[in-house]
Amino acid sequence: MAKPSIEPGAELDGFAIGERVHQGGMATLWSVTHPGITVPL
Amino acid sequence: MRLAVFADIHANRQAFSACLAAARARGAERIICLGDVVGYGADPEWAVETVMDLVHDGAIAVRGNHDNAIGTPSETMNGAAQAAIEWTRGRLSAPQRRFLAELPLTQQEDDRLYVHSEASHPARWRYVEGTSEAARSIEATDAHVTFCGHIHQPALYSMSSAAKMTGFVPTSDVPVQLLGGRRWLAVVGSVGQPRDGNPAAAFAMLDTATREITYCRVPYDVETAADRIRANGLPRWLADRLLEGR
Amino acid sequence: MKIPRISEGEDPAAIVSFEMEQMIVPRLAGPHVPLCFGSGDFDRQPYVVIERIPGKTLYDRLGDLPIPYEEARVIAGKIATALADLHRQNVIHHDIKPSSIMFRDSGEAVLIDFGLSHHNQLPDLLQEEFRLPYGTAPYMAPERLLGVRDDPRSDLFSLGVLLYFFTTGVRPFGESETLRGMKRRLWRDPYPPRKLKPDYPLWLQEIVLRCLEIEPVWRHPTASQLAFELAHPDQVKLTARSERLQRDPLTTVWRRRFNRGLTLPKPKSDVAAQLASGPIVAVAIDTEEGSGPLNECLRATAEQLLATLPSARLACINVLKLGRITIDRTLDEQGNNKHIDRLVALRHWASPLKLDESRLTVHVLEAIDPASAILEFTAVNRVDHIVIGARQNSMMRTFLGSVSAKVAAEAACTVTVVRPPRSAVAQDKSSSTPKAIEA
Repeated sequence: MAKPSIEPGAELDGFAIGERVHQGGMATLWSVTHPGITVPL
Repeated sequence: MRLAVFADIHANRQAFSACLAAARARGAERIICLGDVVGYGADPEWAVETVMDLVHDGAIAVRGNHDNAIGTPSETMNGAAQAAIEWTRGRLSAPQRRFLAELPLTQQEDDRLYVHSEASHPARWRYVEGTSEAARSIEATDAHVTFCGHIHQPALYSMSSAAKMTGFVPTSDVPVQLLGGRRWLAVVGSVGQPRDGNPAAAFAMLDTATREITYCRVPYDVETAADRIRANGLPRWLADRLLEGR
Repeated sequence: MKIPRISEGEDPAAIVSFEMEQMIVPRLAGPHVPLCFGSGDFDRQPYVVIERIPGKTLYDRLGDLPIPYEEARVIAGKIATALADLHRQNVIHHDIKPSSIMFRDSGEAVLIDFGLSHHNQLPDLLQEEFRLPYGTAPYMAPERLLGVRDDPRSDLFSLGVLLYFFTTGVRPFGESETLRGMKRRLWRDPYPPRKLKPDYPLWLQEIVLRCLEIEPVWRHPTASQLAFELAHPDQVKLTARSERLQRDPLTTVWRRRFNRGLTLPKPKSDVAAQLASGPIVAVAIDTEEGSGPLNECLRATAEQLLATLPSARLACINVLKLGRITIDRTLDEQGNNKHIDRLVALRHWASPLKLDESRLTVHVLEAIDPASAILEFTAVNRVDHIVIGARQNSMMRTFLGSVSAKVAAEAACTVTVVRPPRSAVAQDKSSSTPKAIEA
């Protein structure tokens, strides 16, 4: 399966990817939204 | 799909019946039998007949060393095991003996491999006693998860993408996700002769959708199984060890 | 959404710690962890989606150190409560440090970053992956340097480092990142805070140095018990630790350094079993006239419980019932301080148990509704087991309602309702029928 791209505006499993919140040594954190989830992610 | 994986039934009718019922209660849709249907226990005809019926209905079964010894008397085994094999051979019908002899050593299904002992040399019946044997088995296959039995003690091994191994004694009824980034060897405990100090019968369930494996233990009527071993003149040690789970 | 940096592939730890988060985070629940909403596996795009906790981590406070003792006590108490909740879920965090801790608007501490965590019922992918212990050097417990990953008290040590740092402005074991530098903590204890700050409260030094004990067994048995001490600083049992101004003498240090083999921790522990051996037991005592036989039964029950649980602690509680409109609540008709009288009575009740002071606390709660007061106390203090007597006099019960019935029905933990043997209440005929079904 093709590796999906992670960038603002992209979508992954229903999650719409927003801005990059944090760039750490081990991981990157992105703000995302999902139509079915009201809690901020 | 939910798979129920059984290993080392060893002609223990009480244990296998209890496990089959428990697996069905947990929604098992497909049955895998990892071999050693016979040997040690007192109900070989029933055990083989039951597995034949399951295979007829779509189950997968592979051959274990005790199944193999029915048709190949040269197999080297300890005294009690050898005595049980000879007694068993006399009990089984020709079609039952042929069924055991014709079972494959391994079966592959999607990204899963089923084998009795381990995957590197299935016919050598080697035990997976630790991470080094587990690594050898995992390296011999490209399956995401290999299921095996043979050692009668449940364990779960994994190899990371950097070929590092981890070993783990599973906790009953706690699902573990078989992460896609590593490869796994699931050693399923024994249905009919557990040897990890817990006399309850052991099997495992795999949910192929969530990739979660759950090791299960089922208490069963050990006394009756042990009584039947003694009543049939099999070595007493084979009855005693059921009570202690060793 | 958290996405591991694996494309560069420099650090295998990034993958393994992400795998641990992937396994552990979806199983966690409660206010002290971020909620997990989904995850993806490595065969496509690895990710976990977690709730966004507003605000900053405690790391942001590093510029303010040292902070006031009272503020540090409250913060550490919240972290200890969060750890208790995490340990109850079979997880040891293993990376407690300021940047792993956030707070909800409602006040609860939230623990984040589970990449180094250990789940007692799941494979520990970090156990064999790296020969060197992985974690944040200044906060790492000494036993971690020996490869122990299954002792929840390692998190109490890290919290002790944090509390020491936040109250003194100094890290107790420095910032050394080398294995050699880190190993010193296996035999070298830190300077007592009172040496650095003469006004350091005795109870706080007692707590901090107990957290920083080299041997886990000398620390608080559970995070709940640590949270309990932080919530009741006036009841912390002060030992020689609390007044120390010097580190251990060199002879002690050398003995530790060269006799390690004698104190090696046992190979395998069971988190749940360890937590279960150190519960907080609360016993509700009525100090009114005529409660003697019942109180003796309560004591016998408490004694049986404590006999099998050497790490358990006992909180004796009594409710000073307030009238709905009473304003004066401290002095009775004779001008005695009722609150202090009750405390004395509770200690007197407990004295035959011969409990070490560090295992016993007494509490007088002032409330209009005794059952609610007991329920609130046990919830706030994460009590594991309530022992309470059932009132035998049905007339009283009819008027007042049954405290034990309400507590048994609404408590979140185990409740033992104690009744005196029938012979002790044989005279009281009216109580014989409803007694059996009460609570």
